[in-house]
Amino acid sequence: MASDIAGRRAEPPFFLSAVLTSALKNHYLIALLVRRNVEVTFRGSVLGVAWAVLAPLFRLALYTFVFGVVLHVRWPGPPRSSFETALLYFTGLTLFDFFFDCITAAPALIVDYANFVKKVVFPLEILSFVVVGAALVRFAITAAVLLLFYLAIDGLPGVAALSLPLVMVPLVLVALGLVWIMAMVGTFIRDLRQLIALFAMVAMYLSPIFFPVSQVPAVARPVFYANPLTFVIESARAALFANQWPNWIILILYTAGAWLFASVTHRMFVKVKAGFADVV
Amino acid sequence: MSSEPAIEARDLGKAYRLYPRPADRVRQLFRSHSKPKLYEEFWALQHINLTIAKGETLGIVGRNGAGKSTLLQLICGTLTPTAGTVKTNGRVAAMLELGAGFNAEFTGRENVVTSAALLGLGPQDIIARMPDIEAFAGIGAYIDQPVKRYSSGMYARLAFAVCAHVNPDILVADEILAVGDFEFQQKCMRFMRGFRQRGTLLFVSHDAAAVTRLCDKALLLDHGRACEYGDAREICRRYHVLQSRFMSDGTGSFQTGGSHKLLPPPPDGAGSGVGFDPDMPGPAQGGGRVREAGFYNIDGTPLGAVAGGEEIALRVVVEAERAIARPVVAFALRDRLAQILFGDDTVTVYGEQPPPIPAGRSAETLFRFRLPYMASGAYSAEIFLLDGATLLDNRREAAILRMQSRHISPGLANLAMREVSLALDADPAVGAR
Repeated sequence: MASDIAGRRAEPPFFLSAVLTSALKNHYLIALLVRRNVEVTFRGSVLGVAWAVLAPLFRLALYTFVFGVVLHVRWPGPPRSSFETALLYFTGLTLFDFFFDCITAAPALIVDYANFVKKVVFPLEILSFVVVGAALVRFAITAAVLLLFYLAIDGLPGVAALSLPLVMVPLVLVALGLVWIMAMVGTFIRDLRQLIALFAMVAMYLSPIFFPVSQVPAVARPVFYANPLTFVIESARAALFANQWPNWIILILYTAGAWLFASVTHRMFVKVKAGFADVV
Repeated sequence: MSSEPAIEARDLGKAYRLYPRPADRVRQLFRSHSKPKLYEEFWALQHINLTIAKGETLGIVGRNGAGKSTLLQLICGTLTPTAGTVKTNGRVAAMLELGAGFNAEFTGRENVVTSAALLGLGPQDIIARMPDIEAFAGIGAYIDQPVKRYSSGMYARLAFAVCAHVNPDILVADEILAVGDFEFQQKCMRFMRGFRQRGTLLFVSHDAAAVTRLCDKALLLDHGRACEYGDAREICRRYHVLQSRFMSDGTGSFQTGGSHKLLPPPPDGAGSGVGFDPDMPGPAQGGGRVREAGFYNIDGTPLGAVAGGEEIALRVVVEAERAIARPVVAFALRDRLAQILFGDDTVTVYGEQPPPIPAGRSAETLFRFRLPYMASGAYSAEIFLLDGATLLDNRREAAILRMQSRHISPGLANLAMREVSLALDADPAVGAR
């Protein structure tokens, strides 16, 4: 924007501001598209937005029955009711769902929005905010259901639960970056869509959803720590069910790394997007 | 107003890389530049130099695949140039496709909000302009229905209404008149004529009549290159010539030999002698072919746009692959909906004893007639070659006729009016006194 030399010198390096500027400059358009993205799933159905609440409720009931009543799986630590065990699973799964909600949409993103590439002048990089934003809205609804049941069973959670939004920050940043990368690659290599669907299935068992990482044999643990979800799921569970604060040093380092990752992928995407119109 | 041009293109070019297989696209990324390329380059547009001043109106004409849409997309910035540069000054509103951002499940109103935001309007502006947009679209209560229930005309009207209310400095319109009903087209034309007072207009259309009515200047593109640039009327005329040359490769005047017969005035109630229905000609048997066909002025020069009433000639050259004992050449002129307006054949003159064409020889047929007054648009002639009643060959769209009617009425045909008068009768009150 600023073309004079003084203006250019004042510009901070891209990794500090690019992602934020891009989001703020288009906040109205992003909010609008997020709303449409969430609404379109329920448009035309009889129950409408109620499905957003009904679906997680149904799943919670299913987990309580399968893991708590039929299998009697015991989570390490103090004894818990079957309902509480189900909530433990549900916490991990909700976070996992958010993450893969973003990632499965990414490879086909540009092709799905082909009109935005060819027919209108549109800042394509904000589609990543739209995808992650819409996933966040769906996550928030599920999380609200989870919290309601938590309140009904265990009462108010400890103060450590206040750290939950902070724990989500790096996950959102990693999701943004992955959507940029995969939308970019997926546009040129259409096979990515199939690959991601397969990968999501495997990833569910490589995330500590149905067991804590402490139960995983030491040899396999590096695989889990390489997973961006592990720290987030473990910290969220510790905060909610054991009133433990997250490891601040890891959280800060993780957030900084995720921020850098998102900034770099954002920049790559902006550079590559000019080529999309030729292949869509 | 600054003197900076609204649009400036310098040696602009766009090449597409055509890969035989999708995997080659990936392989090319890791290939050294010294190795032969895995793709073929196709230049959709090349060496375009263009300066459009603020407030100017430019029409772009050219045949399908000439690069018109590519040029517009480059100017809008949805495509990036392979060569050269393009600069624009001011807000560009791209009407590359009406309703491109629409989602069928959402209501008209919701889609207006989204597409206005896509065109760069803020929330306050959208709320402020919503009543105007509703009024302009004129679709009434349908505005709160999902757009999937819209007719294509309503869809186009709503989409156009949004574009018309974003107040751009540069309006880029690609073939938008091709959709929608007549009323919608009229509305578009009125709006765009009004827009010329405020901003720069770039207009692509197959409809040369619309281009001449709307634009001062025009650019003729052919095979991705700028052929001609200048006065809109002149360019459209050249475009017609280009088109008729494309349809028939023959040029120059007629040197007709052989037998000639002039038509006697048609007797009352005389029908055409063609014994077949041109809409259901049956399969062509082969043995001869229609080599070329074209419309010409009577002096033999290729025909440009016509207004109706002119004396013109349709020249057809046929070729006999085997000897044709009773050759018959027929033509049918169709409008854009493939309806036949008129047609004729050589039987009318030669009856049952036409001169036979020996194998390997060709023959030229000339139909000379006075053109009726028809609605503006393109008409195509289909040519048939028969041996007696057996169809040997037929060629659709063998020659194209461009009509630019001077009549205001939108009817299919118009009158060669001789006299119109409006006279008052004698005042009866005066007579009674």
